[in-house]
Amino acid sequence: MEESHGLNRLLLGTEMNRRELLRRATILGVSFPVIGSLLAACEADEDDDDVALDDDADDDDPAVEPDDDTPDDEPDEDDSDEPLDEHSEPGDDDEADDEPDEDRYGGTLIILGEHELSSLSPDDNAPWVHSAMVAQIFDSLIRMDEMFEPENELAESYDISDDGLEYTFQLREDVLFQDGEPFDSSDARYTYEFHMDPDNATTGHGTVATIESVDTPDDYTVVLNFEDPDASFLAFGATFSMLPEHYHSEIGEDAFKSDPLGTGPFMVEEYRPAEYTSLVAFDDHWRGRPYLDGLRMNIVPEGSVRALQIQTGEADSTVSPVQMEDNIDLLEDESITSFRTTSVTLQHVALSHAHPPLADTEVRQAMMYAIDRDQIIDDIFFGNATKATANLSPALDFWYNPDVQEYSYDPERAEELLDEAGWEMGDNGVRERDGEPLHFELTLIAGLATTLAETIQHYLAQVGIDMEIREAPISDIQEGLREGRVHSTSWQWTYGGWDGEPDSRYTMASDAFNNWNSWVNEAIDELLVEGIQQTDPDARQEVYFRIQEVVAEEVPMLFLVFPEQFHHFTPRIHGLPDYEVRHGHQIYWLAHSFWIEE
Amino acid sequence: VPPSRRSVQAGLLSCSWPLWGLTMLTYIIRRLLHGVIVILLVSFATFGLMHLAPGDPLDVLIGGQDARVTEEQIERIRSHWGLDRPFHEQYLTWLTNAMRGEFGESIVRRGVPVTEMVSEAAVITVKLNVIAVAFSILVAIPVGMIAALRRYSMFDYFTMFGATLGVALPNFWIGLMLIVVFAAILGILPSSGLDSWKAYILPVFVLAVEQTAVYARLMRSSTLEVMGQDYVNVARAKGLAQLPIIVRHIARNALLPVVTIIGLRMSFILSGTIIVEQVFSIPGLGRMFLDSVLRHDYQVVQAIVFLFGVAVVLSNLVTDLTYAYIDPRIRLQ
Repeated sequence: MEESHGLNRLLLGTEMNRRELLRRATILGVSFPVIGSLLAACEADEDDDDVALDDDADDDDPAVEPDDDTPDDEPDEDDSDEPLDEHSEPGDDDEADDEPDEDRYGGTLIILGEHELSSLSPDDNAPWVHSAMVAQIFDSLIRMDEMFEPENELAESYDISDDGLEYTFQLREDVLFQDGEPFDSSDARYTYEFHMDPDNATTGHGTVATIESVDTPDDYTVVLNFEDPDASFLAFGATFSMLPEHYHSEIGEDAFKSDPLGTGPFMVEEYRPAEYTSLVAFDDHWRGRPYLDGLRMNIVPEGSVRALQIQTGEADSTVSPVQMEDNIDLLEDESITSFRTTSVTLQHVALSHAHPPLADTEVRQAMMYAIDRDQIIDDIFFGNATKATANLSPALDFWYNPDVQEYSYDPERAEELLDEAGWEMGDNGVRERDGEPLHFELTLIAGLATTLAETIQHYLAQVGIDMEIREAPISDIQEGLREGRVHSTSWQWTYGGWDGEPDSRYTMASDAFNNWNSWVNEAIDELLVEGIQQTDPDARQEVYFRIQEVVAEEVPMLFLVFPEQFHHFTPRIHGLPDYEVRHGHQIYWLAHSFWIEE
Repeated sequence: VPPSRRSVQAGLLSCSWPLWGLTMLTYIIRRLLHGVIVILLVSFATFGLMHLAPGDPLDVLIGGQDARVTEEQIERIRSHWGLDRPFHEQYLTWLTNAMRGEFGESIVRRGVPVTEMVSEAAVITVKLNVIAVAFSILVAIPVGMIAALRRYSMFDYFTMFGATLGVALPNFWIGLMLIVVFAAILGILPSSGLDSWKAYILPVFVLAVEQTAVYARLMRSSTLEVMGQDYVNVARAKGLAQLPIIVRHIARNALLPVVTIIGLRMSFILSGTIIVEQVFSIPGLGRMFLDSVLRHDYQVVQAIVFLFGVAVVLSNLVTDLTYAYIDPRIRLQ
């Protein structure tokens, strides 16, 4: 008890009971709806702040109460759910399962999203709300599944040449688009060429920029020829949703955004972006007709209302996160199937090395030692987070390197490092060197709660580092970090690991647009290129292990924790994975094999 | 109108409509011209503020977790949407189009005409607010009057306590509590959407709570004030029955300040609906406005501000005209 109260006392000066905390949280909660929709692009930040708001340290540690490392569906029901076995061919499963399961057909799965579904085109890739729906309408050659493994979808098999310059995909021959037209290699070629054409200004362009040409030797073979090897292509590029050439080329991308057509198990019935989107089963889907008659996403901006709708059964699941307190309620509800996964997005403090004190490696290392992350996990995340060791999440077991320099809570070591680097304690408790104070600003998204930032501020002050908290709109922070105006921010996104792919060029390379830390490290730049050009998995693993070592030594940003994510399903939904899932959101990709017990 | 200037004649409806009509017409035209200038200024200010705010839609759109974009790509998309053109050029293009009733295409909902988006959402918001305003007027005015006529009665205490609560409790909280009670615990009303008439009950109630409370309190105090006036005493003295006194002399005069406030509150509608639409997941203008501001969808923000500018200007005009209808003295000035 004493320990769990510690942080509250530090932060608030007094001990606070649960009700008082809740009261404050409710008052602060008013600002959430206002912010919610903005977080389409960085939902996890909301997650963090939700966590921060719902402090209830007086309770028993909720992290130990839920027993849901694996879903708690009744085993007798799940035993029959073969389609979800990741290692088997989905087509075969349907046949194997069909006979005893005629009565599985029917019903509509209702999922919730937090903000307007602004487009149904795969190119407007945005996490959660958008991707959960695109996954139903479209298929790709390969998809990264719920275990972060590549799984054949429209490709029956694929082959990567030894030099990594040629990807050959053999396509399934039984695939139809939702208008009845067959899918073949010309559609695949059209899809890649559409993204390759810079004039189309697609968001996927960067991923296919190194493709030189696309060949289609026959109707069911696609060959992609690369200028340079790109080992990340399988996860990032082979997963592009396949567009119908005959339709997309005719109506154009703009019209396609609200009138999409794919080969996926569900097709669009009604699209009302801010209200709901309903899909109906595609009878001629290559896996066979999905069990569900339909799938509907309702837009419910308010997190607590989403949680409530799952509790009352008004909806079956929410793709957007809910507040931690609601997660805990849902976890405690025995009838609800919950999945808990460690995210790949890093909760971190981005540090602009353009601000002189932050360019000092010792200062950054000292900050890592000065922050008690175990306490933060306990008090702010209720135990629902994993301490980061570097940039990659332990959820990626193949790429994760556990043997790197560790930063346990050690304020003395922090002070030593700062002393050694010449930062001497000044009279006002702030260290300085050559008359320059050890000071920086942490800019937060305006209106979001600040518990995590205040905690960090407190820990840093203990060792003589002065961190000032400011607020600004999200886009000001993004632009400011790029320009070096903003010193730091509390953020959550990936430095490699998205879809199980460890490549982190886009946030870590010295010249990357999103290198917010303005971190310039030649060794890393070389390693990043090597990691992309290396095609042998074991050799690649070496490269990313090395990158994590460098990140751990250099501390380009304060890598704090990988928060856990929760996905809940109402009891009537069956066919959910009965094994431990690594990539929680990919569960929605499996909707084609869900069924509803009425 | 200060009470001292109220004359005994005020209650009598004597006026010459033809003469009034002409002056009134020039008055209306003058007001409308003022309105156009106001709307222009408002649109310029919004456009300026949106553009002064750093960043643009693309940052929010693709600056996400899956940040596999290059600067060159961003520039391309930016120029594709004309976001790289100078501010005045963007504004003038917008303005000329707006004159023709074209508000362009949404940047976030690429390619979707803003007029279509906004009008769809506006229908929902207007419907909700008309019901809510009608409800609050129908409840607040009789309640306020009765509370005044039966001053210090249980009814007075009870309703005025309720009105104080209604003003004090935040909409957001009321909304969530109603959802918990009626949707989660009792399960008799839906917690989101507007699929059936039942779904309107909670959001309309929440929208109406505060205004009902404000109008009721105002109606009560202005009724009390009018009740003490000489012309009411005169009416009583000349033996008029209670009902005509209340309807013709008291109500008519007591309504004046309430009408003013109802008109002025038109400009609060946007802020009120933002919260209600958020809590009850209603795809109306308020939510669209908020989403668009946060995602820098200039075109949509502009169109909504424009629409509200027009609505506020018109509603102020209508308020003044109603005012003139209720109080003949105003027409003569």
